[in-house]
Order: sequence, then C-alpha cells, then structure tokens
Amino acid sequence: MKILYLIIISTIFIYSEEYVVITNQKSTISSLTKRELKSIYLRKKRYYGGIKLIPLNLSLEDNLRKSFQSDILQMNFTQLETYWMKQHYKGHRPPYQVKSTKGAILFVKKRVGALAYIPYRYVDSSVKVIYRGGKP
Amino acid sequence: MNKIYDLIPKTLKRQLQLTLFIVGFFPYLFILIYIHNLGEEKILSDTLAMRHIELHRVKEHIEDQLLHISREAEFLASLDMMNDIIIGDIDRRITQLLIQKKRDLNMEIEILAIDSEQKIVATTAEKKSDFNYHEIIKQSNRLNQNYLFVDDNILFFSPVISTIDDKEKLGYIVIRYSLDNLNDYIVSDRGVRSIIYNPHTKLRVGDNEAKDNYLIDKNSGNYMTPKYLILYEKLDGLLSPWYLLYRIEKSVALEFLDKFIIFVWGLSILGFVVMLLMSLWISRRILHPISQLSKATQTIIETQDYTTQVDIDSLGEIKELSENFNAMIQETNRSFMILEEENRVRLVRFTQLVDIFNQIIDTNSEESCIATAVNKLKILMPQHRFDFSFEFPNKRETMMIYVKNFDMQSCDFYGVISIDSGDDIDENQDKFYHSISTMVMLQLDQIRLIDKTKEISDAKSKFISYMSHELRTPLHTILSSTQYLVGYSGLTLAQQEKIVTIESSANHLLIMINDILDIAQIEAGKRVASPAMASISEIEDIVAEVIDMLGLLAEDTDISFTNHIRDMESYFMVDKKLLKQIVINLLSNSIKFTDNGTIDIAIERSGEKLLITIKDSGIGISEENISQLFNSFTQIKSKNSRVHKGSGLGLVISQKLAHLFGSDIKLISDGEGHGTKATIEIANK
Repeated sequence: MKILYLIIISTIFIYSEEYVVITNQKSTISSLTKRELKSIYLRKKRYYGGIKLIPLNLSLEDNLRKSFQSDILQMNFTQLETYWMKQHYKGHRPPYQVKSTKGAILFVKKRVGALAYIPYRYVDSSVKVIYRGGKP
Repeated sequence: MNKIYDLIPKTLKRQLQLTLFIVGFFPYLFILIYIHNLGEEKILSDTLAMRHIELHRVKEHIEDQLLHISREAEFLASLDMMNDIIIGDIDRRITQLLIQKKRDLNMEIEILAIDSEQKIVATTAEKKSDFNYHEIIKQSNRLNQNYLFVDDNILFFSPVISTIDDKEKLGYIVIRYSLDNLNDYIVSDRGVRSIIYNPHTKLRVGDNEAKDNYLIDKNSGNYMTPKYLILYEKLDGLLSPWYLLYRIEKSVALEFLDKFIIFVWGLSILGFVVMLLMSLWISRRILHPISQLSKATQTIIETQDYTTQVDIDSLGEIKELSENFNAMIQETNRSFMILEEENRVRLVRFTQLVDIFNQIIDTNSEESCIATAVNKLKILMPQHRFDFSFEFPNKRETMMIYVKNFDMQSCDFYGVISIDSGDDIDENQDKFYHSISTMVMLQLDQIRLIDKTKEISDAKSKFISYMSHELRTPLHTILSSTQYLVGYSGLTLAQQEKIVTIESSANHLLIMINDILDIAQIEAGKRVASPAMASISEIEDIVAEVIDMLGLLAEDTDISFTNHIRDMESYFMVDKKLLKQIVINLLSNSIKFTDNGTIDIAIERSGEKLLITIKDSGIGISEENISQLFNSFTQIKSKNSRVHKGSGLGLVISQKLAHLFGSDIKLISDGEGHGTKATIEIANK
C-alpha cells in the first residue's frame, strides 16, 4: 500500500522531478557522462576498474524509466526492444530490473558494481551520486 | 453294462430329452469345472497382476510428483528474479512468486528462498519457521544430494546462482514437502489400503493404526498373511529406501474370484434349468405331433371313424409323416366306402335275386314261369338279350333247363334261355344265371309235380264218383229186391234171415258208397259251402233237431243238451245244412260207440269262438290214435272193440265239411274206456 502510494506520488511529480544515478559508496566511479551511462545501460561497457557493472532498471511502466531512457539512451521503446533482441543472440541481457526505487537503492548498497537511477529526493549518504539528470 | 443299459429310458421322448440334455449340458459342465479349478489360480494371478500394475502406476505417480517438486525448485532457483535475494526481497516479488507457485502446485508444501547466510528471504508460510537450514544444507551437501528427509518432510534444495554477478551463489530455493502429501496416493477403500513404508526406519504413511512390520525382501513381490494379501514395490529415486505396499483384505482381494465363481455357478444353474426346459420343450415339440398321431390312431381304432384327420402343427419329417398318415387314412376310408358300395350293390342284387325267385315261385304254369324268368332277367340285365327256345342249342349255353321225368326217374331237356351278351360272361354272372336257371328248373319241376298230383287226385275223385254212381244203381236194385223179399210171406225163417243179411249188407255198402261219394265230392271241390249268419238260437234249434232225429237210436244212453250262452242274438257265420250234417255225424258216432252211458251236448263260448261239444262216456280212444282219425278210411282197431258199423269216413267227412265254412273239429279222449269229447269250433264271422 505504501509502495503504491509512493508510485502515485512519483507519477504526479515525474516531469518536475530531478533524478540522479547512484552507485555503491565503495565504487571507484566518481562520475559518469551521459554517453558512458548510455553504453553501460546498453551493456556495451560492462566493467569499470575491474568491477562488473550491474545497471538496474525500474519497471517498464515507471515514468522515471521512460524519461531516463529518452534522456540518456535516446531510444524509444521499439528501438530498445529491437536492440535487446539482437543483443540476446550475443548472450547479452538487458539490465536487471528491480521493482521499486527502494529496491534499487538497496541493491546499490549491496553490490559494488551496481548503479541505478532514482529520483533526487531519495538520495542519502549511503550512496554515491555519479550523475545528475532531468529538469533542474 | 446291463445296469447302464437299464438306465437308458425306454420311451422315445425320454431318450430325446436325455440326449438333448447331455449334449447341451456336458460342455457346460466342463467349462464349470475348468473355471472352478484352473480358473481360480488364473483369477488370483490376474488379480495380483492387476494390483501390481495399479501399484506400479501409483509408484510412478509418486516418483513423478517428487521429481516434479525437485524440478520446480530448480526452476525457481534459475529465475532472474532470484537476484532479489540480494536486496532481501524488499519488493516481495519472490514472495509473491512463491505464493503463486504454491497455489499452482496445490500441495501441502512450503517454498522458501534463503540467502547465502541461510536467512529466509521469502517464504510461503504465514510465519517464519525456525528451521535450521544451515545444518540441513550442510548435511545435504555432505550427502551430495539436493534433498533431505527431516522428520516427515522432504526438503528439496536448489542453489540460486546470480545471473548478474557471475557464479555468485545468492542462496537457496527450498521446498519443504510434507510426506502427508503422499496421502493423496494412499488408497483406502473397501479393505484395500496402500502404505508407503520404509523398512529401515519403520516409517510409514497411510497406516496409522497397524503397527505390523512387513516382510520385504526384494524390490517387488507379494505374499499372503492369514488376513491380508500384501503386494509391495520398491520406490525409485528420492524415496528409494521406501516401499509402496498394498495391503488387501483377503475377502476383498478374492472378492472377484468368489463373485465370479458364484456367477459361474449361478450361470450354470441357470443354464441347467434352461437346458432342462429346452430339452423338455424340444422333445415335446418333436414328440407332441407323434403322440397326436398315436392318439388319432387310437381314436380311429375306438370309433372306427376313418374320416378322422390329424392336424399337426409341425414341419419336416413329422409333417410328412402326418400327411402320409392322413393320406393312408383317406385311402382306407375310400376303400371302406368302395367296399360298402359293393356290399350295397350285392345286397341289391341279392334282393333282386330273391325277388326273381319269389316271382318264379308264384308262377302256376310252365309258360308263365319261363316268361317271368326271361322278363325279370331283361329288367335286371338290360345290356343282355335273353331268348327262350325249346330247341337244343348248338353251342354251349349257361341257362340250359332240364325237367325231371318222375315216371322214368330221369332228366329231360326242356329248353334253353340263350344269353346274347356283348362280351364274355364272368364267373359271378355265370353263377348268377346258373342259380336262376336252377330256380326255374325247380319251379318247373314243382309245377309239373303239382299238375301231376292234381291230375292223379282228379282221376281218383272221378274214379270214385263214377264208381259210386255205378255201384249205387245195382245196389239200389239189390236193396229194393231184398226189401220186397223181406215182406214176402212165402219164405222160410232161414231164408228170411239170409235175406235180412243181404239187405243189411247192401245197406251198409250203400252207406259206404255215399260216404265215399261225399268225400270224393268234397275233394273234387264239388261241394261248395254257402255260409250265412246264424244266431245262437238258430244253432240251438239245429242241434235240438238232430237230437230229436237220432234220439231214438240211443236205446240205453241218456242224451242231455245244455245251452250255456245267454246272449241268443250273437251271430256266427255257418252253413246250416253242413253244420247239421256234422252234428249228425258226430252224435251218431257217439251213440254208436256208447252203450249204457251218457252223452252230454253243450253249446258254449271260448273267447270269440262258439263251441259245440259232444261228450260221451263211450269206448274212448288212445292218444296216439287220435291223429290218425282224420285220415280217410281209418277205423281204430282196439283189443276190446267190436266191429262197428260204418265206413270210418264220418270224422273225415265232418272235418272236411267244417273246413268248407271256416270251422274245425277237434277230438280229445282221456284214453281207451274213458269216453271221447268232440268239439266243433265255429269261428266268429
């Protein structure tokens, strides 16, 4: 119920909301460019400083995911689907998908190589912000 | 051998019934015996085999289920979503999945996801159990198997390997499978119970009450206890030390067998009855017509009714038999009819023959006899022609007629009735014609004989009449001469005596001649009676007249006369003249033969007849002589009789006269010396 409430809230403020890309505190990544982010999320760049990168996606319906994909990947849904279809044959899989922002943050906390985009207001000190995006 | 022979029924019906019964029943009996003995073993083994198949199928189901569960664990563990273990299933995605899975499986199971620190991340249980998975996993790792028995649970493990971090073991998917699930495969029905049994641990599922231990010494088998039939099979795979057992109550296990035997017995009894009825029915059906035939024959014998027909409702040989029987009866009947007809014809012919004979006998002359015979033959045999001829035929003829020549004692040819027939005359006809000709000959003989006799009688009568007349004339001359001489005074006494003798003798001779003449007249038919009605008083007058006339002759004899009839006006048909003569004759006889006695004359009635009786106390007559009295010229000779005057023709004449007007004379005597009673019987009218 709480989750549902949060989703509704976040949906209302989606466009006005700033997002950040976070990673584990222990990660050697200090910041990433839009381009770097894109290649990580398209699983072209898989390691960073010897650490396997684990990009996390929110669920497909999530507005933040939609705006992240159009902002960073600059690809629409169909394009992405086609892309991952091809990648599937090469043995690459799309980023692991978590259900909630909370899960994403927890995942980032648990795994060094993990990175996730979250609304700015969720940011706390336990994670490291490596990118800022969306409307300022 | 004889005893067996005696057992065979004697009647066709029983034989047929027995044969049908044996033919129908023996194969049946063999089947029954076979089923009863060999069938039992077969059915038991069939039952066991069936149960073994069932057991095996259940076993496979159990194994399948366990395999399925273990596969499910592996499947769940392989899911991408299991990466959420890392974040402690914060989004409850795993929990939801597991719950969904549990619902799908619909079993009494618990599915858990535990992380690498053996902490339960997600579970389908309401509250988290305090299972020490750490130890369990360690133990199963040691055993190198992905499952473990814990109490009455099987725990299935499947490690979750991260799909995002290479080869990183995130934890385990655990499915806790309660052995109670196996209860779904436990059969507990009507004495059959399946048990999942571990002979090592004595652990069992589905057998809570019984604490028996089962004798299991191989992978699969069966044995019997006094109460149960036990079938078992070793389970493979996860439950490899376990066995699946079927404990079947003997009564249930052999129920089918028992029922089958009862069924077979019932069927055989039914078959027996059906066979019996069938054999009875068939034999009846076959033999009923025969007994009908037999009955019909009996009826025909009893009633002699040859029109009887047998109506038999049957086909085939019996039908043919009955038809032949009917044909035979018809033929017999026809023959009988023909015989009867022939008999009738014969009878007619016989009657005709008798008729011819009668007609022939009735003829009086030779000519009419021959004519009658020929005419009758013509009527009887219209197809033949008959002609009579006096000429001797020049060919052989059937109806040759001969007549007897009585004088020559020989047979003379008389004539021939020639038969002109188209074809030959058969033997029967020949006999017939012959008999007629014989009859004709007899009749001719008779006619000739009668004619001859008449001739002789006539000659005699003529002779007597003539002779009497011729004798009477000289006799009258003698009498008148002697009567003259008697009155003549010139004779001496001696001469007179001689003359009287002559006169007396001549007189006697005259009486005799008169009598003879009377008889001759009567016999020649010259005396004709003229009967007329006469009353009793008239008859009384006649008798009285005669008594007056003859009374003088009865010198020493008393004559009494009584009329017993009151009704003087009764009339009788008599010839008064003749009656008077008869009374004269009879009374004069009585007077003649009675000296110093009595003569009683009476008129009386006997029924319709009028009797005039003249009873004397004279010399009488012996019985044997009475019958001779009525012959001509008979006078009875007896030792104490004297010579009586008379011709001896009195009675004969009297009777002949009486006969002329329908009366009769009867004479009775109590014997010689006891008198005689003469009776004139005058018939009424």
